[in-house]
Amino acid sequence: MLRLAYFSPVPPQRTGIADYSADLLPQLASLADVTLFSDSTSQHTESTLGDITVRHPREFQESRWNYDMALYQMGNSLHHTGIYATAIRNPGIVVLHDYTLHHFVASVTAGKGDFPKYLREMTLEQGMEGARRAWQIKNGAPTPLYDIPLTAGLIGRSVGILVHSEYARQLVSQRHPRSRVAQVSQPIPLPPLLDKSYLRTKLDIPREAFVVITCGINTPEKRIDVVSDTLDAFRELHPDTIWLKSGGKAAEAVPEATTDSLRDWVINVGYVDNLQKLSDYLMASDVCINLRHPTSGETSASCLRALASGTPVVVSDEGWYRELPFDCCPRVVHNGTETVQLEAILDSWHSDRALHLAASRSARQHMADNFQPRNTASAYIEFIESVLRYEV
Amino acid sequence: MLLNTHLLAELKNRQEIHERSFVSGAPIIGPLIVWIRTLWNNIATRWYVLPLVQQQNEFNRQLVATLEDIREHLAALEENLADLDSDQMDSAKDIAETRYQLIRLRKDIQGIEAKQADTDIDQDEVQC
Repeated sequence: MLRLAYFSPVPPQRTGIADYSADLLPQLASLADVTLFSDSTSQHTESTLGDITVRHPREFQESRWNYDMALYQMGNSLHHTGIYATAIRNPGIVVLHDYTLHHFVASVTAGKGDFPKYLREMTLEQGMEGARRAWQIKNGAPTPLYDIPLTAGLIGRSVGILVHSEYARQLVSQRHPRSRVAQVSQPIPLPPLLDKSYLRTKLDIPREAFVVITCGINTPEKRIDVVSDTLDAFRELHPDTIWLKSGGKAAEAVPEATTDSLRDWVINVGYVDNLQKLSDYLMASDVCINLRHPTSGETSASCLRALASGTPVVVSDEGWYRELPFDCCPRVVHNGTETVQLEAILDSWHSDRALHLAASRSARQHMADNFQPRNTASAYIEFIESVLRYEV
Repeated sequence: MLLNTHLLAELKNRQEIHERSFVSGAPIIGPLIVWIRTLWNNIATRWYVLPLVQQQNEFNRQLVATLEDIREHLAALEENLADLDSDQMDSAKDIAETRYQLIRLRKDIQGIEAKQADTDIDQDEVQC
């Protein structure tokens, strides 16, 4: 049995990758001897993780020879600061949740006054042209957060890279042809189907309403402004519309937050830290809107959780979203006519309940076929074995 | 680059300081004012200021030349550092892969030793 050192944020940390690990770890632990290295565990975490050994990351350096492989869950946020440092010092397999890490790397280097470190990362990424760009940025040019992924230092050291979409796999392979890269599905358990009327009563949502849900941390890329404008117009035609907002607020200002109090058809439930409860909210909804523009090559766990709950999702016509089936995930092109497109999609599902039901069934089927945590864990093991055999 | 070529070119353009001719915008008596000031300058200050200007120009030329040398040196260092970082990245990956292979080999050897120990016990039992 493989002995794996697993680095990740875990609940109660408020990040999608913590939830990801909570879903994956029990399955992975049934196929390998897993030690979780995390400095953020609580009694709650340890009770949900069962038999998995939990150790502090600083213990890894001395015990690293005891593991067949180190696995690093890496995302574009400060939750991963320690994980990134360990992955640089002790390379292993990196699970890249975001194709670009520029926000993160800039924050932990230049953002903390260490410009030379940022300069070196930029140079690793783009050679001397990268160095020139770094100096320009220091002198006031805008930071190319989406154009330059700033992952070369991490990918170049890693013995393998796992990503969650074909889109991200191709991007990484093109930029780093010498790297071993593979795609695995996100582990999303299928929640048991519950009666919508029952859930709405339980959650205090009007039973006959047409409920549109948005979830996740409200960053500008999620285009909540577009959703807000669309729903304002849509509700003029369909007064039974309710907007269910779940998720925390980003550091960047959320412009519509103050107007929510003026709209009695907006239910703001804030950050839902319990996945079961999130699943209830998703299942109680008719449609989920999950836009990302620009995208940093990530797959959206909240989009997948909505599909697993049988709720069709309107997505952006970008990146990984294009790999989702169109009947349950129609796409909005970000060309200035987003509200018109979004309204038309909502209208089709509002007026044709049979069409909506078919989309709902397709969503759940897609998740049952492709995203089961057990299969993801098997794919992890297969990839690790292939890396250790020098394949891929 | 800390000392970019544009900035250095700008400094080089301005490294020489020059005497300036007197001018006056006063109507009619303007040329007279200029003549008097020039005359006074030639008598009282020019002989003293010109060597200072030359000294300053020489200093400026040397300073700009030194900055150009430093810029070239820094550029070379930056490129060397980039090469070193790239090599270090490859080495880190190689070392990690070697470590994982060693761990695997050690595990395989332990397996073989365990099997060998079992075989030895079996043979001992047969001999007994």
